[in-house]
Amino acid sequence: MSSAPANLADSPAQGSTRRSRYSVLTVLATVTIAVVLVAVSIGAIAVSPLDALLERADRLVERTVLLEIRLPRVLLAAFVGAALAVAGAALQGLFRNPLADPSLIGVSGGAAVGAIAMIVLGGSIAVSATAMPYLVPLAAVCGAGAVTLFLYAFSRRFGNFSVTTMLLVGIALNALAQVAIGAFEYLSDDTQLRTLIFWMMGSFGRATWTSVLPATTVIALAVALLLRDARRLDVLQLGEADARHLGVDVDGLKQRVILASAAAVGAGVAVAGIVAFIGLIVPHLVRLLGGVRNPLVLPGSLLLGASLTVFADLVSRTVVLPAELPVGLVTSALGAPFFLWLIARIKPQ
Amino acid sequence: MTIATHGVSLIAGAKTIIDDVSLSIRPGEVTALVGPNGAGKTTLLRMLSGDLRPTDGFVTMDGWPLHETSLADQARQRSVMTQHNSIAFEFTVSEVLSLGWEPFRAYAEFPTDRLVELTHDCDIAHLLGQTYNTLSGGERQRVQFARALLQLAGPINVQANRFLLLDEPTSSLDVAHELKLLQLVRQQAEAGVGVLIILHDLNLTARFCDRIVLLDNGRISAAGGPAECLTSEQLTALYHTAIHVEWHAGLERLVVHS
Repeated sequence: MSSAPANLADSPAQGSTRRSRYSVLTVLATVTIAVVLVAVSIGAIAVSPLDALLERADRLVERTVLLEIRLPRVLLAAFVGAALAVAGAALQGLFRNPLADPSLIGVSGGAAVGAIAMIVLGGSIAVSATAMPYLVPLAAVCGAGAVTLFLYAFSRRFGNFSVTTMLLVGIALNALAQVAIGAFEYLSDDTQLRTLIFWMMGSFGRATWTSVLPATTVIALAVALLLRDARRLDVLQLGEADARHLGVDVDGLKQRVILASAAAVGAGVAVAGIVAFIGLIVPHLVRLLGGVRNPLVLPGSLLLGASLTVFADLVSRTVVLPAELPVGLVTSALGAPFFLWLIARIKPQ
Repeated sequence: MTIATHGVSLIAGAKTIIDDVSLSIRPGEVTALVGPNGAGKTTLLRMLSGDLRPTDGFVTMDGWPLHETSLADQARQRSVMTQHNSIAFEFTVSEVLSLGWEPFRAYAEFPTDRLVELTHDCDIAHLLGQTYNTLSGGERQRVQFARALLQLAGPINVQANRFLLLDEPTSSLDVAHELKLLQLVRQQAEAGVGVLIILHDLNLTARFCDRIVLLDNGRISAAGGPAECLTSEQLTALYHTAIHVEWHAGLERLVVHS
């Protein structure tokens, strides 16, 4: 077992800072379940999930609120949060860069451009309304994939990507995404414009089962693919050549991680817009809890990403009742200070 | 059987970096790759480890073309220590070491006893709980060396040979750790491992290596035992600097003065 060498440590610090993988994951799973149950119960109308499920709720309104509005919304928040956090952790591993986050480096922006292009242009080329829930995520995945591939090609060309270079490239890519989004805003009609504004801030408020099911299916597959590569991502931290010498097919690993993280981010952005900073904060919190090894960080990010996003969504829809804040506002309010702290913490290489 | 290059060349644009080189790393021997900066030593090692495909010629391991051997199979037989840089995340030393077992993890028990032995041999037992990135260059080199040796401790087919490729493994080490590392390299050779080492210190090369390959501008200028290769004339010509080699009767080995 890989945990064996940890027993050799003379340093007393090790046992306390590197808690066992299973205890961390158990705690995070418990937290996730608790947050989901609370989020389903609380809102403009209080519903006891137990009553509703046992059909004890005699009022139709409560059942409808729970099953048709709140449940899809909470599930979507959980899946999108998990997708962004796992994709963030995997991209950090792939680029060997602790500041890689889908929203900071432009991957979410690329996904938004893809989705918006489909919404605005798809309407004018008369795509049927039933196909849209599938075509919008598909376009978002293509947008996210194009940006990730570009970043990867760019990093190859310039040798090892420094932490700063990647963020600067991210600024440029996000600016380009803004240009494209602005152009589409100009082309769009009033209802489309409302949709576009929702993209930029991020929200789970439009979740319905028809939009939730395709997105969660893609996310589940993509996240499962990323989790399988956790150990190989650990080996990659030694460098590409050393990983190859340890038997890792580095090229295949990169292709899988780029494809799967683009799919996870694209599907999430397509239904919820840009929810910033989840992919940055969550993996680092998991590392602080239980160490940097990806067999912990990836599943831990899945759980914490889901619970943190569900919690952020709960705050966004309850803090200014009866109105609602965009969830991206809440995650950015949490994420931006964390980002500053992280920059201060990373030592120059 | 060996890891061998068969007339390999590497041509990048108009520049010939490696020019028709044939050499073999034999089990039980320490082969040193010696030459001035820019002679192509690291490039040649990267061909032997499969990182670079030669533009001409080919590389074999135990008789099989290297590019037809899976990376996993290569990793179980052959361990490589590159000139290393840092790790972006806060891996502890023991976590870095355990990655050396990755090729065998799926089907073999982690060799805790062997790791304890290695951490004492390499003088890193006191570093196990520390973050790798906080270590000095020499400490990192000792950790990477121990990781490379752990990779050679796995169970393999009895007919297969093991190989160890080392790119300047002592460049940041103090004298004591340098000697200790080379003694450990010798032990590996005595246990049947075929070792290739890039070294700059000619005295240590004379003392610890069985065979020496002198590389000059991508070509082999001489190859053979220390007495054949390490001569005043050849080294002076190779480095364009006056170098004098003599046999030291008291130490019973060649001594190189520059």
